[in-house]
Amino acid sequence: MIFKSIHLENFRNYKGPEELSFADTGDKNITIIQGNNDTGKTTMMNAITWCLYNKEKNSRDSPIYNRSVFNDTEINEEIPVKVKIKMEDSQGRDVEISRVNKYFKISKDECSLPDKDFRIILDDGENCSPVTYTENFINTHLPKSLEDYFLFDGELLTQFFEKDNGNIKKDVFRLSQLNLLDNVIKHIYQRKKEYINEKEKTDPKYANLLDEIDELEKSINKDKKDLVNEKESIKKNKDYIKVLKEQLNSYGDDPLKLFEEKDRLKKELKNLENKEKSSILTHKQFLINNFILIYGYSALIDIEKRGNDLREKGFIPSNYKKAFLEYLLDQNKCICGTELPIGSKEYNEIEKLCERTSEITDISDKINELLGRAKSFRSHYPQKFVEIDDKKENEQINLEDNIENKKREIDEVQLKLEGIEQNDVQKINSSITHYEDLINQSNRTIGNIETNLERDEPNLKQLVKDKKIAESQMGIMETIDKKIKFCEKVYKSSQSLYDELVQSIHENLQSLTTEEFNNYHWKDSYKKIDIDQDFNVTFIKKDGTRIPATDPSAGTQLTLALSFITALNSLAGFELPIFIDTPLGRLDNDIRENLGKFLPQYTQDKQVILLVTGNEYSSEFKNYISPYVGESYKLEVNSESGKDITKVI
Amino acid sequence: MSKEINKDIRNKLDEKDNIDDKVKGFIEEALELEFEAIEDHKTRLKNDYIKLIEKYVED
Repeated sequence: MIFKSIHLENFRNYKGPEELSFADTGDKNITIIQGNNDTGKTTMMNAITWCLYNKEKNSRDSPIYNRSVFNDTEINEEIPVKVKIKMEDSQGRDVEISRVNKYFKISKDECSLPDKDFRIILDDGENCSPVTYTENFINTHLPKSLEDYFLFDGELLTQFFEKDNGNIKKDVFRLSQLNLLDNVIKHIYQRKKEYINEKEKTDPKYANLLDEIDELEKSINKDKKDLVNEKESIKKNKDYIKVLKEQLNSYGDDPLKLFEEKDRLKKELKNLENKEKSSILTHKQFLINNFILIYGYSALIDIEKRGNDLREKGFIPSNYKKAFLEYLLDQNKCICGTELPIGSKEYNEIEKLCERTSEITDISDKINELLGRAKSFRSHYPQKFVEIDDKKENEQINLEDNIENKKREIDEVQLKLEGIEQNDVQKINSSITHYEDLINQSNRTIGNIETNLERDEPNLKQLVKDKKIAESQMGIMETIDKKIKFCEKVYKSSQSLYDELVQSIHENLQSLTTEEFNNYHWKDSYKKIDIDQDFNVTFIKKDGTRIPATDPSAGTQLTLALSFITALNSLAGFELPIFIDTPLGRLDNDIRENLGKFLPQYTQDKQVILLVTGNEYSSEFKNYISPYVGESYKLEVNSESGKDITKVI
Repeated sequence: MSKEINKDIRNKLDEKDNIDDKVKGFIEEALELEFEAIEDHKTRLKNDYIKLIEKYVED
């Protein structure tokens, strides 16, 4: 469908009537609708989806009629809201799609529910006729499910790949009309079944044979397809493993082993440190327990030495106590009790003895006892104290040495692991294990499939032989057999056509998306855009690593989505224009410039309608785009009855 | 074939030498039937297919 023009009346901030013609396909295929924020660009998109699908793309709760018109309308008067889109179909017919909601103002604040009218008029130049099945017409020519592929909101494009992948695949098949071919295959298969049933009534054996062949062929085809898929999957998973292993190799020695080694060394270091701590504690305890003995030892030796001196001098044990001799002298008596006059020879002898006798003899018993205790004390002194002390010290020195060595070993391992995160390595390893599991799983599946094929293919050959014999015996081929045979031919041909198309659409989509993306995007670290069989999109970087489409920055995601969607649009079976609302908002200047340079090339023969802000439509982008612009409009806002009204200039 | 059918499908079908013209013609017309098919009119589509098969088999 070529969009020729849009007519708006009383739709939200368009008071109207406002009419815009769109640039046709051809050399000047771009229409620019320029307006600042809140001037009505998104409302224009909403008007299109409202007209086509009775639903605004960005739905809002407020009423769709123009508030200024509402204010100026008397109660019980009508407010018609109208959007009319004129198009041209592929057969050159004019198609006019109009949706009108008539509201009646029932109070100063509200309107009644609207009277609705939706019609499509076809005009081939001679006859003008309304379309009976309007919804079906829209569903056939501009299906709502494909709305995202011709009406883009630039701001929301970054979320495109967050869509569940099954939906993207469905959309691709629908856009490329593979679903139509798929339906043909299903229908022709169904018809064939019905003919076989019909035949069964007249020739049960033959029909049974056809049934069996049919089932077997289906099963073999499925197995063959699965076989190819599994082999591809093994190849892909092997590639992943190769990239992951290269990543691991780039780390040098086996990093996981190094991390294990580091953990082991750390554990050993901890043990040594605990041992050292405990050894220091035991040593301290040993010293504390023997503290008195150790520090009193020299005093004990001194006491013993002095005791010996006293013994040698004969004071200990003492023959006489000095106090006793002094007492005798004082009493002038001999030990035997005889009187000793002062100056007598005996008196003088005792006096001399007294002078020679030390006072210490008075406490000799106590000293003797002390010496005995000192001796006993010394006898408790740890016999091998020094030896034990030395041993403990050596033990600590050894432990310290071991700790130092262990730390050195850890440092050496750490040096090898510099810049490597353990989590990254574990992740890589578990990914490798995951892909290896998948390969094993695929190998098992392949084994099963091959066993099935070895059994089924000879069976099929035999059944086909039986069928030919049966046919020759039946003689004249009946019409019903002709129909069955024809259906078989159509079925097989459509199936092979379908398989080839899936393959070629997939390849074209992948190469076109990659080419477009690389032209738009400044970064050359992305080598390829990979689109797998389920249409999951991933970036492949130059180093071979893969990044999901949802990972990079918003600008890169938007560029990818734009590349993917325009590539898909150009492969589509549908003639669809490309509307993009605010396409450049999140893009940096380089990408904007490239988009201006290459977008016209990738959208040749397509209608392109860009709804842009003044800021977007400027500098290099504008210079590149201008030669392709066929129509250009500006949206401006005026105020009427206190409400903003959009004017198209 | 109608222009409404994806030209890639049309071209690929034309390219295929191993499909005879009768089958090609049938697939083209069947694709158009599918394109124009109305969701709620399944019986009509079935009858259209039956007529189409009869047309090609009689030819």
